[in-house]
Amino acid sequence: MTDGDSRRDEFEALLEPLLRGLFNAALGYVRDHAEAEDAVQETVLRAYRSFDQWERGTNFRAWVFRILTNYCINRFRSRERGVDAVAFDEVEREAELAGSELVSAATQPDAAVFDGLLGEEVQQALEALPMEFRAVLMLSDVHEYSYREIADILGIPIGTVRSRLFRARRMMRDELAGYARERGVIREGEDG
Amino acid sequence: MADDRLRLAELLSAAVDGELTAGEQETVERLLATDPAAAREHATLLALKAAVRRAAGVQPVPELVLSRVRRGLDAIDAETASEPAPVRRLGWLRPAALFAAVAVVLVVALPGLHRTRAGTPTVAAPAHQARWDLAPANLVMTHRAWHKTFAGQTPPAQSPDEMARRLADKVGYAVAPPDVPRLQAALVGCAACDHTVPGHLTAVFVMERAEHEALSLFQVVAPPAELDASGFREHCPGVQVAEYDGVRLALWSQGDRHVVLAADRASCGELARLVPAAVRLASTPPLQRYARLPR
Repeated sequence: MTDGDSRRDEFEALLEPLLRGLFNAALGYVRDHAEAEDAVQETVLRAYRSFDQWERGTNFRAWVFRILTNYCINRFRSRERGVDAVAFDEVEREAELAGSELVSAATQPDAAVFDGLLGEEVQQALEALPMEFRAVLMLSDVHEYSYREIADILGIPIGTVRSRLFRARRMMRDELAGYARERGVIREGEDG
Repeated sequence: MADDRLRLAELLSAAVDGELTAGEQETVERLLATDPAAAREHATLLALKAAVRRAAGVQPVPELVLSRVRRGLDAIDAETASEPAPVRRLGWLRPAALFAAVAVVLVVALPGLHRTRAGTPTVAAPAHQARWDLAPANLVMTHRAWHKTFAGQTPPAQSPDEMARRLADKVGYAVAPPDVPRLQAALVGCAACDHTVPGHLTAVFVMERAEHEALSLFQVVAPPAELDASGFREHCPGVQVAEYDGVRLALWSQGDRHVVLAADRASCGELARLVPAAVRLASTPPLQRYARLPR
């Protein structure tokens, strides 16, 4: 067995259990099957080329997810740039305004409302999130990464992970409240 | 006060992730026990988290992805194992392989133009040079196109379906000038390739729309050391050589027929990004639309 063979074997052994998670994460990021396929392929090939740079004993899963996440964010940032700029501003402002109450109860659906919403509507709400917020929400809620791991993957402080998750959820609830009102699950002005 | 409420709201969000410090945990527990609004908010966040997880679902990895990944890893291994070829910066286009590349374009994709250039020599097929195990170094075409171009030579033992599948696997992007009804210039991106491939040249993508639909498109790749800009010009006078972003490009157009792109060093992915700028350099209408080729 050559060095190249053992390198390949080691890489594949580490990668194999992650592929499904990678593909589903990519799908969550880009919301397009073909784009997700491309993202996974690019991620794997980039990881393999850089495999020598991965430090043995560190978290391989987080390392590969970081490659995927960076690829997706960079790939789609330009597409979303205009949206992001607005969204970040709005979120900052909303976060300040929201300080006077724990939740803006008149517009936020409560727990029972989510049962009345379709998965498709939740997916659309996810899709409406700016990429940075979607990434952190997907990594946390779908892939169950810790804040520490998410911080490593995204290269941001843990405090930013926490605040982005908070804001992402706030945005999700706003979006879902709209769907809930459209479908009559909650009425305008009703306390969720 | 507002800051406190905001901090508490953020704590509740972190609580559903189990990411509180011991002190924060105490605060949240106290809050949940005494504040119905906070308790309801907490329940809502838990429900939202579950809804996101449900909506995201879990899908199996498509077999196509797995095969593309395996092929890509094979290509990297082969690339790593091969001797690095010396880069001859000024000799990056040599007539023989270049001629093959251009001829493929002319014969397969532009028969009308081919007729107008009666003096063009017969194609010397580079089949024996083709590396079918190396995506960036392949010449890929359908059986039909192969025989049309290299009549009498035997392509690798693959069925047309297999070749079409291989090709489809390699296709990344097509670029189509929307204002050219009959011809379509396409950049065929190698799906296994998003890196510079020193020692190889990725080239040329032209087809008629009907040919495109039949998947008779092709990708010609040859070592840049075998091609020469002057040779390109000799056999294809419309070609211009331009440098963009450090990559030398050969471009050809005639009227509204845009053909060619060759680069001395660039991955398909890089070429996909360079094409519009490169075409503008050559004063041809910009290629405005990126479209995925049918699979």
